[in-house]
Amino acid sequence: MFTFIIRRFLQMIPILILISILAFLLLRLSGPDPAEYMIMSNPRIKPEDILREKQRLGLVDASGKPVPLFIQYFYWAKGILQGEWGWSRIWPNVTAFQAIMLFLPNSLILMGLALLIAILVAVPIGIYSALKQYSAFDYIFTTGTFLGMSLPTFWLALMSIIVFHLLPARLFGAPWFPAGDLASFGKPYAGVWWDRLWHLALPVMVLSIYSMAGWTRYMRSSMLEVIRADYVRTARAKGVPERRVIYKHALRNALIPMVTILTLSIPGLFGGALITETVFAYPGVGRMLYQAVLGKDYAVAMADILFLALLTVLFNLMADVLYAVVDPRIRYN
Amino acid sequence: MKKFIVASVAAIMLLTLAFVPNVGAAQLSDIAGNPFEKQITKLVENGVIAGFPDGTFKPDQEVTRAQFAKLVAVAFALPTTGVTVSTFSDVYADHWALGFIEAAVAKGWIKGYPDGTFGPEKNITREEMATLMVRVLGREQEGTKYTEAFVMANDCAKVSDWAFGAVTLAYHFDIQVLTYHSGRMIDPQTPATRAETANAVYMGMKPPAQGGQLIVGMAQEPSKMYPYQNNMAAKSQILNCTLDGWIGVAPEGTGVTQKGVYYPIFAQEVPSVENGLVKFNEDGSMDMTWHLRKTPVYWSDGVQVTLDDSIFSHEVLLNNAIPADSRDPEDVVTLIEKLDENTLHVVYSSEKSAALYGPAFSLAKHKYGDLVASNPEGFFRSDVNQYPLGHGAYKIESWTVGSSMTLTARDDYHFGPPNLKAIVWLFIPDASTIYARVASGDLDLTIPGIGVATTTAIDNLNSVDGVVYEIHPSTYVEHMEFNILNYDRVSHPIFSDANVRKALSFAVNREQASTELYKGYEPPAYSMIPPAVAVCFATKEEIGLDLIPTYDPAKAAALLDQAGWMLASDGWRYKDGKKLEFQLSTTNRTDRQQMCAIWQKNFADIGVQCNLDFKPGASFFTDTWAGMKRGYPDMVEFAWGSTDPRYPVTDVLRGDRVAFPESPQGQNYAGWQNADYDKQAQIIQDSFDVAKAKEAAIKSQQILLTDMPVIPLLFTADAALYKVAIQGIKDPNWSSITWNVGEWYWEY
Repeated sequence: MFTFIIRRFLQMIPILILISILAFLLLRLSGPDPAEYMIMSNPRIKPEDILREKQRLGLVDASGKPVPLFIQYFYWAKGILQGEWGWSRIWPNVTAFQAIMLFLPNSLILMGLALLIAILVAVPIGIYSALKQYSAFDYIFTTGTFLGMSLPTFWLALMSIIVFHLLPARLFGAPWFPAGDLASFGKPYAGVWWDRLWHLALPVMVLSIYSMAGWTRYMRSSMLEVIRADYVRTARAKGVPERRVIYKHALRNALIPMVTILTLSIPGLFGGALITETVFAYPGVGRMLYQAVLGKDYAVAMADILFLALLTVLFNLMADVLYAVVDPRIRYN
Repeated sequence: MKKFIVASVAAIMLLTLAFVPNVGAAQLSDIAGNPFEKQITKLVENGVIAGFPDGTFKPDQEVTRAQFAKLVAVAFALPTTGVTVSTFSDVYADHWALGFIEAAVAKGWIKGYPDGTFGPEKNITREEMATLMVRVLGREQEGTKYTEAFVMANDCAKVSDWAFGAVTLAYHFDIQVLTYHSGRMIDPQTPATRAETANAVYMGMKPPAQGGQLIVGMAQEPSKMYPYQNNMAAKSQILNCTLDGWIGVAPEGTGVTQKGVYYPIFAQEVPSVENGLVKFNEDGSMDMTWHLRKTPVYWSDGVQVTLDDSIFSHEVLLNNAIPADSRDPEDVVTLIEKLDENTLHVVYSSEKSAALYGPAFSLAKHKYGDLVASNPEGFFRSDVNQYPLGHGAYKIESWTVGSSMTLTARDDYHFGPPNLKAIVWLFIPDASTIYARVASGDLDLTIPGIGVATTTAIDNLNSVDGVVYEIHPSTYVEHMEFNILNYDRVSHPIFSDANVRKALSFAVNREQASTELYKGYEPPAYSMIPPAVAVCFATKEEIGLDLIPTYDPAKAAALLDQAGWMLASDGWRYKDGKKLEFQLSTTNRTDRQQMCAIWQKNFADIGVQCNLDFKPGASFFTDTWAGMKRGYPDMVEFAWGSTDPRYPVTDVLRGDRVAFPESPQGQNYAGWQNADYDKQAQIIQDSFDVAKAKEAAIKSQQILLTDMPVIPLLFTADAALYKVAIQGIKDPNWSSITWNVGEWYWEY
């Protein structure tokens, strides 16, 4: 087990380097660099202004010649290793690391709440659906989950704004839920915990509906598989009461694959939810990365991609390890 | 019958109250569209003022001092009966207005002339009206500290000594009993009109409400608030609230006829050749003299603004250790010196029109001076990026990056305390969300260009009660650009022939696109200078009607025949066995796709095959901008624009702005080079003389339309949506809606 973990850790290094090279190339080769980007917002900018900015960013050398990409990559990698992540171009006064730290807590709250609600709702529904397979309940929720999975998030988000924000405002004079932001402004309760929760309601709902669908399916199929297993039949045959069969013998085994799925979905918490965050103007990591890529904020985009890659491989490893922990039949050697 | 009695009683009451016989406001025939229509109507409804028996109000008629005394006495319900003794030698005991005049005298509002007369039959001037109204408001004492008329107007020097304080206060944000005349003038000695007196009295009875907050939604978020780097529309909207400058630009009029008028803020007057503050020397250099006003103004930390701040800002802008977007025109300053505490002398090595905005003035020396001197890099990473010290009406209170920014009003502001006490900027990336939040009443204002999409505003015109849908011309022009000479210097096989380019320009039906897609709000374009660039905008007649591209398929076909592209039996045109076929690349915005479908059909009608290539915005611009390599085969469609009423984007088509492998800079995507055009573009950019700039603008467009490297399609529009209850918004076409934010207030 120990050597397995060590080996996996060592494997992570080339993977991360490869990811960083790919991300670096993708970012640099995708269109205008930050200096050229300035033109888009200001056609009056002069060529010498652009050149000066390019020199400052290390894209061209003092003589105006472009610096080769691999040299730019080495400068960047050196900086990362020395702990100099570079300054953000599109957020004020923050390094790439600080930029991530600025947005990460928002995303963790949003994604965490959504995941929690999704699981709390999905797991019981999944179990019940499996136990009452082909019942009306099962059909209703199967249809519901397919709907939830297939509705585009941006549509669901806009609909939730229309139904819970716009319509009540037009019909009753006040919206039931805010359509974004972190908190209210200019109200005595602005920023208190329930005000913040109130503002989170719609985005959390949209996100949890989306992932709820998936979780219900996972739980249902996992449970279905288990209740047909021999040991469940054995338990029933030896006269164990049905409640005990379900909770002690079936459910605990059905939850094993869920542990893996849960662990693998944790990096997603740190990745944010681009579309939901965009529609609700929520300052999360998903939007941050998207804006960094669009705004040619190389430092932040690279740092965040690397950070997410690291989390993904780490949690993959963790899922493998946990799997062995919860399922005694599994051994790594 | 009962109705009749009520009406008669009401009429009689008004007869006795007002200085002329009553006519109900609803029936007044000549106030519709008057800038003070609302105020006149309200006063008539309240019985303070009335129209003439013929159903008119005669809003432009002058008002005598006696009439104004009556108006004030009635409006403020002064006791006017039982007066028999007159204070003034020229107001006799039997004068019809004696009671009103004496009532105002008793209040201390009317003091008369020093010689003991009142001049009841003289017309009341605007400065006299201001004086009286400021007394009515009990604010006269505040005015005593002014030794000049401290107003953002072009004729402050004309104000009489005794009226300095009153006129200054009359324009304060929390008073506003005077408004500006055309040309941003006070016209202090001009008689006040009936409409103006009505407005003054209305504002006296109901001064701008102090308080409340404004929630603004916009799609962009500034990347930093440091004034000289990463400039963008969102930032300039906020900086308008937090920073002042030497001079400003005010919009006058609306729609395509809107003009931009320069007015002084910190400067005593706007420099010009006529007033001697701008001089051209024989060596081609330009001298400017800037006078700071005598009245002290302060940074938001309470320290006085001085000329040293301007010199300091200039030096920071030129400091190589501190990045700046553009150094134009500071980079050609050869001398900047302080002649005395209020006079700055600046010499530019050549004529530079951008110098009209004055030397840089946005950084406080007392705050940043030491840091810049000792550690420029540290300054560049300091809180000047988040909370730069400003001298505007508002200061930045907090900024939650990624979400919102809150500005608070400076009650010590030099032009009076701004009325709205807080402005909250919400950064909402999604335009549909912004519109939903306007419709729900959540947002009070959206910013043109970066708020609600123009097409959304046009499609839902006035569908939300209590919200103004203001759709006005923008500085952007939708156009097609040919790839005449590509990055590798290969001439385009079809488009290097000007006749083909012109033919295509006559083939497109702009009118159809304008009416079908934009209900006419985006009118057909006939040059690359849109009406919103008011100073340089040239009308069809000025350019020459024979050059104006119109929808004329027959002419287009004739031009193609002339160019040797002949119609074959299959309905397409060929030359030397090659088909006339090309690709038009653009973004996948819905309305743009629909527009291009119209062009495609227009081209097919004259036997030209146009294939459309739509890409998501980001990827389209990537192709176009990537290394400036013009990565599209034949032609592109997009919109260009500036954010200033003075500068069109003529510069981008200059010959030296074509990118080639050895000089990969520049935004001339047509790869078009024309020395005559370059000369005109230079004049437009640099000429201090507005008339000369406009002349060059006309010439430049004549050259452009003759050679047609680009096809102008539509003059685009922007939409600002705001609540009706916000008073004082005057939206300039060049999209800096917050330019007069201090004057805004809530009135329900």
